[in-house]
Amino acid sequence: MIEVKELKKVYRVNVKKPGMMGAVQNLFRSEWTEKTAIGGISFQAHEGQALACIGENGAGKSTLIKVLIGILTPTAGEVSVFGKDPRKAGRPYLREIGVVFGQKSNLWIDIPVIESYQAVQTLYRLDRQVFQRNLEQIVGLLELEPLLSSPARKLSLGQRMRADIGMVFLHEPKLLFLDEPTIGLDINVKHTIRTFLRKMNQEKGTGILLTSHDLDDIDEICDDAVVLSKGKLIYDGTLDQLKHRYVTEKMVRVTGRPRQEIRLLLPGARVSAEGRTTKVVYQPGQYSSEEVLHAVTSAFEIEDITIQEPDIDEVVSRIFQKGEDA
Amino acid sequence: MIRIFMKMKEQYIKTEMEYTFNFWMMLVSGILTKVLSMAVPFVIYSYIPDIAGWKRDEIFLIMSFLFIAEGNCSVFFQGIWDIPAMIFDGQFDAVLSRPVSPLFQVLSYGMGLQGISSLGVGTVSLFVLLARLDVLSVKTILMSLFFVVCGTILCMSVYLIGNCTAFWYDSGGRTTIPYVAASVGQYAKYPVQIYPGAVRFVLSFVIPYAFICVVPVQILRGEHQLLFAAAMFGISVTFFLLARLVFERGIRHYESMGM
Repeated sequence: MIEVKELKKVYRVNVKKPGMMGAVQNLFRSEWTEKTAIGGISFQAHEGQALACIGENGAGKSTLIKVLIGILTPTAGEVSVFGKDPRKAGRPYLREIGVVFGQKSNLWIDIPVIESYQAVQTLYRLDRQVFQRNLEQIVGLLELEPLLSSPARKLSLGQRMRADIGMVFLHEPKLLFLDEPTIGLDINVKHTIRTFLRKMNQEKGTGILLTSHDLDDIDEICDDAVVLSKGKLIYDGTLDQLKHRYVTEKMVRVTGRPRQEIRLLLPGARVSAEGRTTKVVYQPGQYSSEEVLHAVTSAFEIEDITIQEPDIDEVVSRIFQKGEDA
Repeated sequence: MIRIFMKMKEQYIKTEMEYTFNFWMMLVSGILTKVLSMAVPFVIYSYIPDIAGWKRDEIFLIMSFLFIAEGNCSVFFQGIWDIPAMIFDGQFDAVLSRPVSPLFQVLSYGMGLQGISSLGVGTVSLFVLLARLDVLSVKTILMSLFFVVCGTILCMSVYLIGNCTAFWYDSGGRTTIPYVAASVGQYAKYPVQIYPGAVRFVLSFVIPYAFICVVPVQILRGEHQLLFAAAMFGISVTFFLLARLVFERGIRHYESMGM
């Protein structure tokens, strides 16, 4: 479905000198430097795949999405989606994909949501029955009924995002690009949106390419991931493998009053305390679970204890640390 | 396409009407501005009988054509003025990711209330003046319609070219070039013959406001009717094609630069 070969994208940026003098100088002579957003990456995604694109700010995620949509021209390398070059495939291609940018709305901001939907019906030349069927399904799943008659600018962020996500499914895209779709939303809305996207992916086979800072999004919606760091691809595979590759540690979280200094009992572990809760992270090869438990019971009057693998947040921050070391 | 375009505009009018007070204020202030701008020639002509062979009502007729063209642009093509902001805040990405002509999307966006007043004042005074100059007939009405269509296209093209400069310059969401163009164009409220050659050239072929309003009145006065009408048509088509080319080039630049 998506094929990216040696993709490179370099921006030319205006360098402004600081201060008033710099601003004045910039009026007469601008200086430019090159900034590499994507520095030669290759990966593939198959039909119906839900792929996450993980990366810190400025890693090149949004640039990658824009190149795949055909909004940006690559500096070098090849990109093909459905076997076509997005830059050249033009409108027939745009009809097959859907795009949601979390920070911007696709709705016409001043007009009622339902009118925006009807505009989409006309603009995408959708058959009336198809439109009606999709509309009903979307309205049902995303609980849009009460929002349809309000202008988009009067909606709350969560409502607007639901309306935006709904709109992009009206034309039954085969592939959906989502750039930070749940940014700034509360947990209920996030849940609704994630469940909806997952359902569409599994039932309709809609391919998904998602970027998000919210790793729960990625966990719930996607099976596979590519990880970008500073424009380089540093991982391409399943989400589970990603966790296993980088997570070799276990974590015990214990709440209770300390009796003894745990650091002395387990000198090789990383210990961090936050209020009455203490986190102990250790390598399984270093200590056995029994040793750890023994140490914890003697060090605390235990009120509550959990043993877990570090979550995906932990994984990602680990990856980026490694990326920086390299 | 036309249907959806009109439907968008209808929605924008409805939105504006929700704010009743603002709606009337804008409407009334718009009418006042236009009517008051007619006061200047009114005062001048109470002292001098004619300027370079132009009568007072002919000057008002020039203004009427300008008001109508500007009004049409504001009512129908207000979205052009949003281009710099759309580029700046990334909204343009959404425009480019839809399978619909970007120009159509930009034009369908937004609507200027002041334009309604401008259009109204212009239309009323056009009819009054045609009657006062004793040339009101089916023929002159049809001619006026042609002038208005050409004028609107010209006005739109100038705005579009001006606003498209934002594709090339990091403008922070605002650009002054189209404002400069529009305010220079205001000099064409008076017959361009009164200006030195260089100014006349600018107003005819660089910022061709003369063709929006002065040339139509010249045609109505009976000067070189066929030649001027053909020139108007030619200039309108040329500027429209030029504006479209600039817009498309702008998009290509946007695509290769990224913002």
